[in-house]
Amino acid sequence: MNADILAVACAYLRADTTIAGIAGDRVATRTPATTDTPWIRATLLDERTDERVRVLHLTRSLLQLDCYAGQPRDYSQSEASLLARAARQALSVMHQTAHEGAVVTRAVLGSMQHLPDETLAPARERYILTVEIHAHP
Amino acid sequence: MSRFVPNPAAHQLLEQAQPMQTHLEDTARTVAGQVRRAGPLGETGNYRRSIRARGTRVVAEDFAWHLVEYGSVKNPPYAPLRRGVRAAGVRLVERPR
Repeated sequence: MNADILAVACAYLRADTTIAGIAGDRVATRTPATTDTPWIRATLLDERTDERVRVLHLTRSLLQLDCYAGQPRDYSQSEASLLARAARQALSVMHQTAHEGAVVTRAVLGSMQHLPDETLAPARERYILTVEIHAHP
Repeated sequence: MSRFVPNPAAHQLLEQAQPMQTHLEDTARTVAGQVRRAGPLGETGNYRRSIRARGTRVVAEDFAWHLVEYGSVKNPPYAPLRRGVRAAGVRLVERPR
């Protein structure tokens, strides 16, 4: 059975030392209870199988990573940017690492956008990263 | 013996040709339909009604389209534009301005 790529990606990013230095273990699929320190929220937007293959094997999972800064400070934008770039760097070599329950063959990086979250007051610095992960059991 | 000299403007010329424009407009309508399907209904249905195919483009005219597409700290991203493009069988290439 195909693995939960969202869980695989979160576990992988949590284990990255650069990300851990910025956000600790705050890489999850929901907003944490406290938003004082940086965090990454990962969301699975869409997952498709390879239509060229008759059996269920290879999947292509489109993920969005919201890289948030902590409490607003003068350096918040660079904090969020650093977190997003660290995540992007880690994802670029994800296929070189062994993962629990999945073989990641490729991580195709999409856009990285600076889009502060204005639903918080004051607006919270955020970078949005999109990645498509190709994997099989 | 003849020599092939590629036209550097070939891609642009092909895109502007009428059959290609017709195909792109048809594709835009297909994508718009998929985006509406992927979008949240909400209380008013405004977001789905705001999705339009304009020529070869698909536009979301709801003022809160970015919250629906990318989410916020309080709401997950629905991403109907990105999901709609993929559902229509079109390759998604993101080039934010």
